[in-house]
Amino acid sequence: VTGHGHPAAPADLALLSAAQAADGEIALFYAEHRSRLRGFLVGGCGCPEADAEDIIQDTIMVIRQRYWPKVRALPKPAAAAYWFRAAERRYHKLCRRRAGRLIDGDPSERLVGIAHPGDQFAAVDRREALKDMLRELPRRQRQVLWLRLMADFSEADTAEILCISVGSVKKHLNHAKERMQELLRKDGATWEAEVR
Amino acid sequence: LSIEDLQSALARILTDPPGTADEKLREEFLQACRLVDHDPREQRRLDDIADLLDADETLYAQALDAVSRGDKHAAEPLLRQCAEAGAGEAAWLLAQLLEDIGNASEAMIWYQRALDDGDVRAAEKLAAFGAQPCQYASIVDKPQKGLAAPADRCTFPILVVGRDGLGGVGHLSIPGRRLDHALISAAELAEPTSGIDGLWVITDPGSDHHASLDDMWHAVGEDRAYAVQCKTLLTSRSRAQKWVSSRALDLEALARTPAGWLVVLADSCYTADKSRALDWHSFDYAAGKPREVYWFACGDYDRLYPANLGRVVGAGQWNARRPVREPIVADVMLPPSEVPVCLPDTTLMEALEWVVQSGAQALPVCELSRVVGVVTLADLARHISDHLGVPSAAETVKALMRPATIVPADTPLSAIAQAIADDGIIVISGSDDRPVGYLTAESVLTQTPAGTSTRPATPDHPPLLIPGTGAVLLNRDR
Repeated sequence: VTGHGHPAAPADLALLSAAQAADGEIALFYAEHRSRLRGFLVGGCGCPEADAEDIIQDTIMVIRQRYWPKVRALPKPAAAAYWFRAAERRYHKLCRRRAGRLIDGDPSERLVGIAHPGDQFAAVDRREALKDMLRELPRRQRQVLWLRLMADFSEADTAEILCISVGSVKKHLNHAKERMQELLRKDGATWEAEVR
Repeated sequence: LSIEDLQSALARILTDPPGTADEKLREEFLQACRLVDHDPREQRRLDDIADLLDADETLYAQALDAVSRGDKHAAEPLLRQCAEAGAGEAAWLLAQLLEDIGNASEAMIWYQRALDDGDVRAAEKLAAFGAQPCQYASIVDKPQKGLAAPADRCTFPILVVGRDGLGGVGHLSIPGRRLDHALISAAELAEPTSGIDGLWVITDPGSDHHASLDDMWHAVGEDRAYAVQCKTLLTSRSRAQKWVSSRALDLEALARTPAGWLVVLADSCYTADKSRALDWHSFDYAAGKPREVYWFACGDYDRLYPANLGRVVGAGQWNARRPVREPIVADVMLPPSEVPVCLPDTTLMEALEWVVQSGAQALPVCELSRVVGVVTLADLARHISDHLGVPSAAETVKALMRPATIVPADTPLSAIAQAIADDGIIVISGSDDRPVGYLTAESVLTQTPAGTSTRPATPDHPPLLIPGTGAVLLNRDR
């Protein structure tokens, strides 16, 4: 049971089954929010997809190791908010560390064109192009837009995740929407095919 | 096409690829748990991450706490750390705090950062800064080759060398030549014609330019006899916010010091509205010209802006190049301690003795620290000769003294010429009855009024002389 091949003492067994039960809960929590968090990191924060996986795994393990009793006691959206917040922080930290080493803004990312509809890899290209569109928004606006619209967090939870005030959340959302409308007006035709 | 349509499109595209079942995710997670449980190193790593997250949270909470308490001293460093980490609204809060304590230039940088993050409140703030009148700067036409500055004004050319600095930004960076050569050419061009006495280099040592600059020191040292004053103002790594804050501080220092050429090694520079790249500009310091606030943006360093560069330069603390002010009496007056005085009941013989001993032309006569008149050497001599060289011992200066000329400290020197010729001494009045100083004919002739020199004041920290070159390096690695 322990994986070490030693027979486990009864007390250990009790602890172990409690831990396993907790792991089961966390696994549910993980499966439930994972996809939204990934979307938030990639779409809302601009995190590269490979890094997003790392961040998701690291932060859920950190929560498991240290914060689960606390997170578990929170109401459901707030518990998810806790994870999102940790992930956002973690991403920002990684960004800064990387920024010290690299020149940012790899131009190739911006040079992605819009794919021909018949293109086999069009889905990938469209995804990139959509990310580019989001990239046009300032960081906070993008994050708020994502958390409110895609991840369905309340204003209060969004404010909690980003450590900003509820008023700022509203403002950012409004501006982000305006900006997106503007971009849609500009590039709308490109997206008709995709959305229909 | 509406936001909602886009929303669904985004949701489809950017979330997990379809087919990742919950079941599978849970299994993966439990597997990962087992791995972690058997790997102490991994546990340590996760602990470290948790510690970092905790530290961030605590720091920001403390910063907010200090702000709400109104404790600016405590809040500033905390907020700075948080803002650098991009936490919450730290950039916005820090900018406000800095504005409050009067550090407008740095406040602008943080407002800019907040704006970049999407905080539109910052745009208003920045606009307000931009609207403030700038005392000296305005932009004039491209300077002509050779830069003969018109006699009635001083122009400051700015050479902007881009990231491709070895190439062609600004007409002094010579295509195909090395940066050091370009800079030397700039200095050559500047030096003989306009009396420009130095070349200043602002760069970021973290960037590629630093190596070029090192080359330049050598080139300057080996080839050139004339002094080129150089300065790297920016020291820390380019990405860190420290870079910009130290740039802001140093630029203020820069602005207080004269420089003929300001060389900005920035990756890309734009005008304030970012509509057009800058290549070459000069500032006109002539008073009374239409003023314009000028901004440089450095595009590539994590979107940090040395935005206030133009403003700081423009704010015009270029003392040495300022139009020369007419000297005033305060510039040359002697402090009261250096001038002997007599009392109304001092005898004439005593007064004569003091005048002769001090070598002065006249003595102020003081009563309870108030100047009641002056007694001049000429009057004393005339009186004594009238009495055949033997004045009565009882006679005091009271009988001989004449009313003192008393002027305020900001009187122009030219206005008191006649009075000083007549009286030999002039009293400078302070806020109360006490004199703040005296002006004698000697002091006018021997003291150089401060503020009339076009040379810079000695810096607090002596510059580093590059051995064997005569070149001076200021603050290179501060």
